[in-house]
Amino acid sequence: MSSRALPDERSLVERAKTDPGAFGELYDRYFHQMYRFVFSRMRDQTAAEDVTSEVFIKALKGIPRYQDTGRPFVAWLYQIAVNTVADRYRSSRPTVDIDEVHDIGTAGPSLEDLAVRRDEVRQVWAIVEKLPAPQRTAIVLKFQEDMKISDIAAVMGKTEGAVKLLIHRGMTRIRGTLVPGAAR
Amino acid sequence: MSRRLPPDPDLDEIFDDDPQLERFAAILRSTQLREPPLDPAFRSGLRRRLLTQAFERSNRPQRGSWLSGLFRPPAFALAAAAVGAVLLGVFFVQLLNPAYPSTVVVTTDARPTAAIDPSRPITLSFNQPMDHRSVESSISIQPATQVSYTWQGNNLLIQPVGNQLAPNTQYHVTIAAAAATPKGQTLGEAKTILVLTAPAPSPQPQPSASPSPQAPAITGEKQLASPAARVVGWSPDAKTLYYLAPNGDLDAIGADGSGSRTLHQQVSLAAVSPAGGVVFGSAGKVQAITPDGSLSLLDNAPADAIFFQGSKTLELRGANIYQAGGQAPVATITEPFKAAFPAPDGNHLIYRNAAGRTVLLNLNSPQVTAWNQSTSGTITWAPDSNHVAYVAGGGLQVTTPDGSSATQVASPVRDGAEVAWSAQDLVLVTMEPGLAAVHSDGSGFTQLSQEEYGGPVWAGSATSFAFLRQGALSSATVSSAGGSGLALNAGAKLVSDFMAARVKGDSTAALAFLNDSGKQAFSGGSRLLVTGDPRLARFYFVSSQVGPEGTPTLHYVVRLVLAKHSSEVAYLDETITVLRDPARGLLLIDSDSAGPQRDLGKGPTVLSVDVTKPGHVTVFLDSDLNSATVAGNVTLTGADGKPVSVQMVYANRAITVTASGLQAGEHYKLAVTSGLADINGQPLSAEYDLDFVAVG
Repeated sequence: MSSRALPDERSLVERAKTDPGAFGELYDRYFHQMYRFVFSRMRDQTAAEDVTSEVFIKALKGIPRYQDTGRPFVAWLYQIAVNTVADRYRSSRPTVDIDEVHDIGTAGPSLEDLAVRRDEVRQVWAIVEKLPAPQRTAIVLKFQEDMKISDIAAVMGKTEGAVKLLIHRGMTRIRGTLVPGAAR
Repeated sequence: MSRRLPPDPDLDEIFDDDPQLERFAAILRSTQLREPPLDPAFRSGLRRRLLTQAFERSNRPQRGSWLSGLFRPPAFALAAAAVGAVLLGVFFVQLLNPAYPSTVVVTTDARPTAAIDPSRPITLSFNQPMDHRSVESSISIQPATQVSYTWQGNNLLIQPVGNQLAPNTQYHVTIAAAAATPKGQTLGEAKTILVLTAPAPSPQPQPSASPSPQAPAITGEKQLASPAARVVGWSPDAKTLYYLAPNGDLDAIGADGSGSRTLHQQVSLAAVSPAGGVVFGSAGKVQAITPDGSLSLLDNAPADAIFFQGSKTLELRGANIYQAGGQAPVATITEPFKAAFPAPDGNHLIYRNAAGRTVLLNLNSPQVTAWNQSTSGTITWAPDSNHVAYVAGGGLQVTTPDGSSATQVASPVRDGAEVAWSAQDLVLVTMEPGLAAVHSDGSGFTQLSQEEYGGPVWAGSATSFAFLRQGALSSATVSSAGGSGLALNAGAKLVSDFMAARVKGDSTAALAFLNDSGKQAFSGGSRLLVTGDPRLARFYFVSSQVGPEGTPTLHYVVRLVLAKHSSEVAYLDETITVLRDPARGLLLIDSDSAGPQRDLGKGPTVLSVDVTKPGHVTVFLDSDLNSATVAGNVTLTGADGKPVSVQMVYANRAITVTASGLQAGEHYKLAVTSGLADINGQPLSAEYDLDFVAVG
């Protein structure tokens, strides 16, 4: 995700504006990434399927107007996904356990350590889910999707400085909740 | 626990080397998205839908496109008119033909991870009329299953010939690319639909996918001797019963009714020694009689109670407890008391003082603990001495010996009801009328009978009990489908909850079901949580059984089904042992052993084995079998390695093995070998064997 748009991707995107087969290739390339991201936000298979469908249908409609700005094409897909998820979030907020979405590696030294770590992860993500939407989106894109700040800024339609501020505020709130006495 | 982030200039600016923020960022980054459930049909369906729309759009005239340009120059007006006429002609031809989609699409309402009732047909829905023969000949089903087809419009219902799909099975229904419409439009590419079936219906609420134990029942009831006044107890090997006759005789009789004899006369009290034999009080003396009949004098003084602490015989005389033959008391009850109830392990005694207060006395130290609540009637110890049961407030109460955790586990129960607590944690309680059974945690309450069962006493095996009815001594069995079935259900619930936590990836919750030995068994990284690819998707029970005689354990074989995305690709079986934790009084998982990982879809697979019915073993498979391959490929051998003579019946993917020679309590091995094949000739995917203990 952190790499720039590759030349072959640029030509593929250009072809996809008129060639259904090329759009199919883009779909094959990014379906799983988008579906996984959407599922992590919706936490319900049916809702994730609905939103993913909507994302790609919007992408199909919008791709003739897509302008290559040097950012990865997937950043544009994320932009559609973030907005579509936000629309759905407004109507129904998912409540499924965070454990059903996030995972931690099993290469821990002991089961007890693993359990402690899992508790910590669960707590941190639970706070993330309660953050204001812009902070939550910025943090999810940064840490879960491993995006560059500049790409997140493009996705969210904000400046890089604004995105950094959102992440900093979100992280400070996490610390303030989990470390009593820490500055908020 | 500190973690460092990999270098990221973006974050350097944001966190400015703040270690706490970096730590939380590292936590966030350390988590990975769990693979979400994904229906391949959704992915391919959406792709088809998008491409259909993309093709329609690319074929539509666009502003400024070559087609619109064609009509613009006046010089081409005539040509335009001609093209227009042709287009109109095409339009009318289209109107005369049914407007069927250009692409054949097949879908199903079943989801690969949402189980359907096995009695429900698999439904395939096409987006247009299909050539029935073409479609039916294009379908293949894995595991091999004989099916019939019914068409309802554009929907195809696939029904197994036996009307039931195999339970706990993910079917792969593949429609070959050649499936076509009546006009020859083909599916284009093969389509596989995944359908998962639910566990088989079970008479018990949870959780078995394998055949569950039947409803509890008393079986094998037989009158052994008459008259009888009190059951003394069973010999440790459960082959002999001791009882007191109304005239004071201490009598013994074989559990099968043979060998009735009088051991001594004028006996006032007696207790069966854990080492075998009986210690009894008679004519102011305490004596012992060994299993071979030799008599010895232990004390020349009368005893009020006789009990045992390991190999030591203890006697309650007045307020003092003596070791047999000892001169000095090992413990003393320091206040007047009305009744005393020694623990089976001889380390504690509960007494009720003159004021009605219940007190726990530690016989190894002078420590006493008074209960907060009052009791009346008998206090019955659990065989492991960690809990007691008594009747109070119209219900059966269970608590730790210090009385601090009383919980009502059954009601209504009358005052004076008699209670017997088995080594398999099944508590019998006499009712008005009849007899009921319940686990000490209150689960599985069952009225076993409306008949009279006075003074029940369990055999150590926890399958048989003795009782009095109308002045006669009788015995009966709470069949393994009854008493142990209840225990099996309690243990299966525990294992289910444990496995559910593992499927969820919640190690904290899973750890709570393990004792120290269990934690050891599951240590080592990936044993507890099976993540990655493939990941643990679900589980089901393959078999369940109580442990051998005298070992209060429950054994379960649980199958872990591993999936890549929505497709189940492999499995492994774990054998899980459950026992009651002596410290906490809870059922906990004590040990586990895992078999090899095996691929799914490689031939018939054993789904479950039922060993809970006396004289029978039933093997359930996921595929329709070639019945000619059954004989000789399912065998039973005894512990001595000798084959057991069996008869076999095969029907509906189940092989029922009947072996009249199975001896209850003996070890046997079931083997299903690879000569067994399905209706397509595919051999068993992996040879299967199971060690089990036959039930009586």
